[in-house]
Amino acid sequence: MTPALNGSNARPAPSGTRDVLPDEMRELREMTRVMVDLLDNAGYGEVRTPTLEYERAMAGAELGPSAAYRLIDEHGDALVLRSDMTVPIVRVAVTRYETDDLPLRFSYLARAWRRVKPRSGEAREILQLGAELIGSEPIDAAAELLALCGEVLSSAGLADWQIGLGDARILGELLEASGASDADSRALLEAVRDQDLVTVDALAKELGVPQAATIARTRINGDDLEGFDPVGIGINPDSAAWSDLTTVVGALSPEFRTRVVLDLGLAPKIDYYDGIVFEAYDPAIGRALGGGGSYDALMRAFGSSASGFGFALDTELVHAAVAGEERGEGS
Amino acid sequence: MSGDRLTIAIPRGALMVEALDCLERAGIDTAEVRSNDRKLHFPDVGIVTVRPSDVPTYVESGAADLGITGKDVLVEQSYREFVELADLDFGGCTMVVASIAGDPDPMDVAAARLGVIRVATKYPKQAGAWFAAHGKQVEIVEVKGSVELAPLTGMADGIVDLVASGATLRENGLVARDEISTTTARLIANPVSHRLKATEMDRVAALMTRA
Repeated sequence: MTPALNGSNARPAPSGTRDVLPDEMRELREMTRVMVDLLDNAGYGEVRTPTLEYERAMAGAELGPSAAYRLIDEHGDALVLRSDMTVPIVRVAVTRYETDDLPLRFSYLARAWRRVKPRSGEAREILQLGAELIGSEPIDAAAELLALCGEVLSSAGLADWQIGLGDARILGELLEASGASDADSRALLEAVRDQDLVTVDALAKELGVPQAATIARTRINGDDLEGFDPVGIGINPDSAAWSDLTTVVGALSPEFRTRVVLDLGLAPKIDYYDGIVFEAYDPAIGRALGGGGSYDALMRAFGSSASGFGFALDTELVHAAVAGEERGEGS
Repeated sequence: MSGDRLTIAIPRGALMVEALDCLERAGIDTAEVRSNDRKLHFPDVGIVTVRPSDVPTYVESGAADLGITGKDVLVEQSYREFVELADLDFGGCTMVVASIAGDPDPMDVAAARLGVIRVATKYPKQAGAWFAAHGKQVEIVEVKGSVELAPLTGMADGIVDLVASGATLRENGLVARDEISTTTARLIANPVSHRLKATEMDRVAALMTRA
């Protein structure tokens, strides 16, 4: 390669951020334009919110991804660089709309800034595309947004996308019924979230709830759900979590169901997801392209009893998956 | 990640033979891997051989669906994303704090006189956490190998290292002063493969863990 214009590369972009040059930008812009149009045509109007928000206005923000950057303005007010779009959109919904306006549907294509773990190679700045549905009946909302997320992934040019679907409440309900202490339950759920199944096995045995370890390891193809016996792995079939989950799967199209893996150990990576939760995958990429779920707890933190459901995709990962599929990876 | 066939990352070095034995139990032919020490990539049987500390990297990226490496490596690289599937119950070792044999312990002398203990280790995260939990100030000196040399040359007052029998410590005139943790070989999985290749992964993992 010939040297850079200034003869050196000593002026890098901050770690976890990068420049996008015209060839890639052209592809990204075309891909995101199709996705944004699809959401808009589906009734999810695109919104834009400020990059900086008052920290004090972000109720429940501690439930979201932690903000990495704070600054103080000329009046001494603390501002945060948003770490996702869900919290700002909930702020918009509860401050700009009335109960009569429900349900509300919004979409966005926006950057967010995250704290990164040292040396992990994670992105500090991500370009997310997503949709939020506020004030709809929760199961309808889940079915609608799962289908929409699938359409968005297809529109981006992905053929082999799949969805992992779980419910944050299933293990919680089991532990509560077992009489395990809050501290023990938290430790076990944390091990589930860390995907440390060796610790999950040990704690489940110690607490006398071996079913918790079985559930955490259970993955069921969407197609096979009908013949699946939840009682066999210690799930109460009448529990709200299980009946919600099966109702949502039943509401999906047969084609969509072939792409779903019910993962009963799928733990939300973001704290505001408190019910049905899902992740989007493509076999060409080793990590989730994004995900979503219900966030009633976040709505309550903003003083609203309406329910909320949304999803967000990392557009650069989706783009990488498209490129991976084109190279024949994962098939 | 291709089809439902799994790619497995195997650690070169001390854990390698027993890791290959595990694969044999799962019906994977490891003869070529055992007979060819220089070759790294065995696509016919879905095996890649890498440094133990690189196993989480290959698994996190999806280049390998499954991997085998020590718990010590997983703790040190807990920032990576992988599913810890099973304890394979071999390669048992102890993570110890050690220093030159004799009384007083050179680490105590350093702490008393200089206020800080210099500790050489390949495991900066685990070493730092243990001394912090015990209220001792340390300066971690990260080395990549032959940690025992550090106190002998005066570069460090003590070491944190993994020992199997303790023979290397004794050979070098060192003695273990405290145990930090025990470690064994673990089976880890890429989170996406764990969901998309669930059936095949559960089948292989069950055979590998059957003692």
